Amino acid sequence: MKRLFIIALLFMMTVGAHAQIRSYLEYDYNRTDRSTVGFVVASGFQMANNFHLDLGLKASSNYYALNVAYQIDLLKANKGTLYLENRYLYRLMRYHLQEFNALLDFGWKNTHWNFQLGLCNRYIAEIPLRKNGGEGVVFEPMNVTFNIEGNLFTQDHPWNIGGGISNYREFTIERFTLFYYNIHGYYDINERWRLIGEAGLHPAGILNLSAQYNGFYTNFGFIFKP
Amino acid sequence: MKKTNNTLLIYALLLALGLMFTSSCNRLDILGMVVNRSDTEIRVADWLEWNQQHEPFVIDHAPDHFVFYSCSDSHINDDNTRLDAYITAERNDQEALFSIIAGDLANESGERPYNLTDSAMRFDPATHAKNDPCFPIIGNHDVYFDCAEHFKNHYHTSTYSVTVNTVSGFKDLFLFLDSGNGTHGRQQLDWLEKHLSHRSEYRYCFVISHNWLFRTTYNYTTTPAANLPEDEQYAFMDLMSRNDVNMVVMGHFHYRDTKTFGGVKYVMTDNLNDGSEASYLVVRCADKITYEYRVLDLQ
Repeated sequence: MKRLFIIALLFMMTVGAHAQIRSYLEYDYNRTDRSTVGFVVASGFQMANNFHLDLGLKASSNYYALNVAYQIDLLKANKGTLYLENRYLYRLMRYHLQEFNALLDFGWKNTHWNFQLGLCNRYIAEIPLRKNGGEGVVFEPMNVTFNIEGNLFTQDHPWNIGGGISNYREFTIERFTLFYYNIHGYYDINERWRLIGEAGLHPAGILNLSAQYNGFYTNFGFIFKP
Repeated sequence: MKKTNNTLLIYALLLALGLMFTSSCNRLDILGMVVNRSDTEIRVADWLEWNQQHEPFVIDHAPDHFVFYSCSDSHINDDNTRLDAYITAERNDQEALFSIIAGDLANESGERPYNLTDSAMRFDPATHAKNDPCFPIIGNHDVYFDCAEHFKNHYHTSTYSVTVNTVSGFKDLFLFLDSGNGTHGRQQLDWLEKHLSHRSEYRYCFVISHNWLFRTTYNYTTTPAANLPEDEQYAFMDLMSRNDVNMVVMGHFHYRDTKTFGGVKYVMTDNLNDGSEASYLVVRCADKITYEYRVLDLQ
């Protein structure tokens, strides 16, 4: 019930604002968990000329997650935009633990490319949360995060395809030694509806110099602009 | 002029890339970032097949209070002095039952590091008071180039159990794992779960694997070293906590670290192969478990 309320609230906040709703189904496979399925609903708000807010929820067979992020454009030039992004990601895992991440990065984007580089602090804590003399919580500071993505066409093109390499996704932030390789794309049905899709690989051991296949993911959904 | 400079830059980059990937260096397997030399699932199937054909490792008639030693990252090229000093220290400790090498035995391709490791493990009545077993596991450096095959030829398995039966009837369980590719893989986790389902039959339970779990501090010489993928790490930690594992012993990051989470003590040893402060772990199993890091004595 609570979840439905939050989803409805996100929807209502979106209506009438310069905003959009994004939703997708995700299938994840890795050798540990084998198959997991997740459902995502997220909203994006252009609050001001240089300020964008993102709220997202994910419910999967492995975890529930809440993602809050905002972007501030710092410098707009002909060749691109320099921006700052601040993200907070909370995940309630089925493995009797919870995780809270705070990420700050700088990005540069233009019509075809997006580069981001930042740092993430993470707390891993037992469920229920107990400090237990510092033994119920692990703090991992200053994990480097990066994202490199490119697209074939500009964003106003009716369809697009691109690829990227990153150590995080919307609801998962890996250590900087573990990468996601992805391809993504969209197709505009009309001015309001856009179909979106993504597929990626998540190998293990890359920077151990002993990489091997570990898992993949794929998602498919839509963006709606009221 | 500018065009020439750009062309030169491109050639230089291509040359650098070419050198990276065809490097004559036989220590760092750069191509291993994208090429899988040895798959965990295939390796684990080999280890388990060998286990089926052989009796499990059992140490009988052990005292109720005993000690075991654990080191990691011996990274041998052409000198086994440090590993030899470690094995000698354990074999001259009257309370010690056995020693462990928690991965990364080798630091170069070829069989030489494993021959030198064997040589250090070999009983020498002149310097060793007793002939205790030494249990190694595979690390990521042991799957570079052709190393996994040499590890297999020398040690046969890296997914196995050791049971210690004490004189008063206590049983302690040691589970050794292969995380050479930065993952344990499904097959090995199934094997681990199966063994941990008998946890209640044992007094203490230890799990030994190479790949450290956390990233709480940094050693900038090994900062790129990878953790397990997050999902696997959490599943692994949950498995340890749910089954009341007492201690998880690891290596990989070349520094000492300890964490307690979910009632489990996670302990990492630094690298044995370098520096004057290189150390190993001495764990005492008595009425409770205690441990200390001991600096390698090279005198």
